[in-house]
Amino acid sequence: MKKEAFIDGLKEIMEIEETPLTEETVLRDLMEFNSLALMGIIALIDENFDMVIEAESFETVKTIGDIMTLIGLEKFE
Amino acid sequence: MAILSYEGIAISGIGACVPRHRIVNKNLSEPFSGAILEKTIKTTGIEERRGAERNTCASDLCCEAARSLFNHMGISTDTIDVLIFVTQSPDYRIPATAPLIQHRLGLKQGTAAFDVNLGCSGYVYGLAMAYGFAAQPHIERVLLLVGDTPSRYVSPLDQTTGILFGDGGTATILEKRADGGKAFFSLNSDGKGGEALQIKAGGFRYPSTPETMVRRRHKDGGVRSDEELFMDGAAIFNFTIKQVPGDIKKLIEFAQTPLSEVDYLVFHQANRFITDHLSKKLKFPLEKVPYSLDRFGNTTCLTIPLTIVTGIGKEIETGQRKVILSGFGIGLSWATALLTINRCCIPELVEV
Repeated sequence: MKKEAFIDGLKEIMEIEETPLTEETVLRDLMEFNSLALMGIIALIDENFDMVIEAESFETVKTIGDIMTLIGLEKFE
Repeated sequence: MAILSYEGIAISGIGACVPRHRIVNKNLSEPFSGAILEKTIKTTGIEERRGAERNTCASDLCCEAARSLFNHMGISTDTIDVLIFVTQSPDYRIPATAPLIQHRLGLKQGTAAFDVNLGCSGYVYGLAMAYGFAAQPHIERVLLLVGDTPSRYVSPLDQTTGILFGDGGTATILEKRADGGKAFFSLNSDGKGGEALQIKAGGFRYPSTPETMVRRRHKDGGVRSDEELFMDGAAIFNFTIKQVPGDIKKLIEFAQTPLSEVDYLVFHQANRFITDHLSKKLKFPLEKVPYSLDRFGNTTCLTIPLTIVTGIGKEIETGQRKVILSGFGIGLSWATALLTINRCCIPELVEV
């Protein structure tokens, strides 16, 4: 998957239109990182990579890049 | 995964009862407010729910549903040989509630009666047991009552759970019938995730004390006591998308029934986001997935029969429909059924 497409998917979940997002963007600056948001991210990953990442793995996640690392950077173009 | 299969048993009637009192989510006050409340309603799809009065138990709602069903089917209570009561809100800690219901409904003395403590997967588990009893040569009819009053054990100050749950009771009657068709069940559990949905106190592992009654703010931001429900929403979601699609696929493969032959897929009404995701994963058309959570919320063990009654009641009353029922959650526990429902009596929803 293209990195840009993944970031677009995240924007859709978080309902952010204007703000440009990068791998360095800190998630908690964008939204309340509650269980609904987490569900959205887990679902996005499941849909695109057919993998289910454990919810507790997100405890150390700070930036969008951290999520990509969890998924596996080799899966991105 | 325990697989069961039956033939020649029919679900001949399903009735449901909900409390009259509506809890409208958009009118909730603290800790629910503004954009987050709006977003939660949109994501979960839960607009309103029903809340029972303090003196109404799950068994009362089930009895109302059962009485209405007996009337509409025109059957005598003497024809019921087995009563199964699935609930997480028993009348008393002991004894089991089912024998008390036997007496309250005027079923004959000697009726086999017992409780089952299951939530989200409870209707499918209950049906699997009910089919087993109904298949016995000396059993005429089985009455499966499934009811719960989560409003009594969820903290209204917990923003994870306080918006989701509603109360209700249902009654399902099963009997032998030549046109009953084949029925398949898959029943599963994984207790490793038991703490993801839990009321910690009040049992014998962690008895009630004055301390357990006190509401506190927890790490997840929720204000609740140890006598009230804790839910780790993301963990439950995770478990669900991992286990449920595979279980459904395995069962239809076992039954040699392609998904395209299935008329309706009735999910446990956990929240709309979860079930939409499951439908998408299974590539199952959304228009064949009925919902009741917009009006009644997550009613735990009875979401499936309540969705059948309020969503596809007319269709199964007159015609024959192949359905998949899928329950998943607390336990952790999940179960799938594939069955045909035909000429099933569906009285109008009872409100008390």
